[in-house]
Amino acid sequence: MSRRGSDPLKPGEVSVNNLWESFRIFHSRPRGLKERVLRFQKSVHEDFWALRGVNFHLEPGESLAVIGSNGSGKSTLLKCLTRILAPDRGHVAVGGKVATLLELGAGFHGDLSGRDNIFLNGSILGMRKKELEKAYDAIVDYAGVGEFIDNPVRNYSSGMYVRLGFAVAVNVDPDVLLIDEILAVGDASFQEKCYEKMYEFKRAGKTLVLVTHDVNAAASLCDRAILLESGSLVAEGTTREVGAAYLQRLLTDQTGATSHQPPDKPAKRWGLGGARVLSVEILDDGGHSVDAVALGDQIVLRQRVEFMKEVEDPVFAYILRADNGTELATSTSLRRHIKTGRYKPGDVVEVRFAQTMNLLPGRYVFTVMVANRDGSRWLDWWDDCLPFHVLGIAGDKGFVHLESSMELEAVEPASLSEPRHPGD
Amino acid sequence: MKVFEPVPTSAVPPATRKRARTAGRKLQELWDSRELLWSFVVRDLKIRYKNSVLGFAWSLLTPLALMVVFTFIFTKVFVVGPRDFAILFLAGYLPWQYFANSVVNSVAVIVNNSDLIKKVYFPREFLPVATVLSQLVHLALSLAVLGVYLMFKGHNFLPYLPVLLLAMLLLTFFNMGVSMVFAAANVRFRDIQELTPVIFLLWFYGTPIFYSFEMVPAGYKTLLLLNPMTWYLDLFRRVLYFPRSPSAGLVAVAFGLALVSFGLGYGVFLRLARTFAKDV
Repeated sequence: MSRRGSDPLKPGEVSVNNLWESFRIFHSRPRGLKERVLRFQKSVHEDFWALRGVNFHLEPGESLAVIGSNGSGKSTLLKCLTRILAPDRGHVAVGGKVATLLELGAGFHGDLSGRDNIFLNGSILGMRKKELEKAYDAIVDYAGVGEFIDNPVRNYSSGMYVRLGFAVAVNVDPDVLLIDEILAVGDASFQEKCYEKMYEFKRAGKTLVLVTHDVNAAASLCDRAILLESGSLVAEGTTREVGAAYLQRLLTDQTGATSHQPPDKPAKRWGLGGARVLSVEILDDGGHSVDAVALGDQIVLRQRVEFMKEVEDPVFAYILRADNGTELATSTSLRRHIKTGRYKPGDVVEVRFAQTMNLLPGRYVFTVMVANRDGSRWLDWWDDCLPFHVLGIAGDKGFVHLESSMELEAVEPASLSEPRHPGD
Repeated sequence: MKVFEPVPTSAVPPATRKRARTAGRKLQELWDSRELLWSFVVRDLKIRYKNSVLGFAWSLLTPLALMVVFTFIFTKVFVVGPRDFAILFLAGYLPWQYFANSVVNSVAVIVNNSDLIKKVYFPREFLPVATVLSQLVHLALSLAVLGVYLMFKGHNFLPYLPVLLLAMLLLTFFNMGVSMVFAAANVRFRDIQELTPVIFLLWFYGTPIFYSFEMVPAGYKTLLLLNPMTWYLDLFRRVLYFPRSPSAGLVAVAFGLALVSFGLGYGVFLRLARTFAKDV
């Protein structure tokens, strides 16, 4: 069922029909007239199709997550929806007003006052002067710029600048709201405000399009999702299904024929020598080498270590880090007071750490190391050598699954007068 | 969940034509975002006069200074040429400045606002059009100064004020057309912004500004008539210098030139604007 582009759409309706979008990749770009005239030829370029025949349709009030890895065409699709880019083939139609949430400070001019910039920026984002006048006090208040409002914004601190931009941006009131990588912008309080705004829009029955590679963010906000891969639409369905499909594809792409010998990166590997980690693997309960596990899986982290000189009771250890570098856990034979034994040059030992993976879905990485007897000298330290995924979709934030439970119980007012702390 | 085969990278896109937006929708869009055009004009004016003590007085000072200098030169030092040479000069120079400044300031306006172009959609033509309109404000102020001087000298041009306003309107549309072409072409060929001042320097001498049309030898007159600015300056001088009614033919030519310039310029601009976000 193809819709004609000239049909008037209901406010909040979105129709994308066989959309193709290309960029020119210039092998040698003649920037000016001279080059072009002297060469008697057109510039040497190739068309790169960032979107290939994408179709979807949204009814007013639906929320769609556009999922895909970097370079899959997500942002290009968003730019076509906002009309920043005109479709090269096919067409895009959006009913009513469309706006993005996160173009902070678009069109801000350093020489103009905060007040002037509020109105300029607001009208660039498609707001009416009347709306801005109504929201003006709240904007100034939120931005916390106070008496600086009549000073040129080039004198603002970067925090004031961004807050002012954000305070204007949250006042958009379109029929279709587009959001690009919400988690990539601003600090926690911004993100919270953004989420607040998005839920508010959702409750108000507005259409929402969220572009992301964060499956969890998508799942918490959107009912439907599409998956883009190299510019083609490869899956469409509920956010949970599509999110899971995305993670699955990500894993098969990255690891191919599951080789667990990561390329040796000299910069991330160091040590005094004398022992060397030959391989690191995650084994599932069947003893198979894997690079993705599910929450709660029993796994074994297996290292093989070769010795080049005589070492007595070496220390074996690992560090588990989240994708952002946060250290989540360590385990060493030193703390466990394990006598690991005496090794001669040429000996190889297999070290197995058994673990329960109480980790929330996401990407994690192991670092492994071998140290001398008291752990004061590292013989081999192999940083971030084994990345892996925990599969599934979680609405929870954080990294760790603590198996928490909750109880509710009514409290008699009388009991509140008792001392709160046993020691009081 | 529906799963689709990815379109192979070798696939050739369908050769469908791009669907043109209807004129009605375009007009609706322009009307809906009219406040933005105003914001851009105000931005241009405010930025120009920010940090200057005299502010708007500057745009009055330039014509005033010119008037004093030229009156002095052509009445005391270099007493040749037609009567009231200072007025003849200014009546041509001020509209010329309007035209030249409009285009020279518009040429890089798309490239310089690349951040905005890449991040937000708005009718791109507002950028050059706002530049022209802010120059129109300067023209109006300068003409006001000249008008006071004319009244002081006993030239009563007020009965012809509607003709002056018409001349300003037509020249404005002509300016918009040329400015849009220059601004759009400069996205592809950045040389144009270097070339523009040179073009306008030559164009200045090829336009009857510090000479009058009548002073030109007969053989060159035809050549001068090919220059659109010759017609516009003639229209302004009818009101400000003589003052007398312009012929219907002159008004028709000025109108025709404005129509062709604006129509072609806008068409070219909209065509090239489709890829601005990729090229800036």
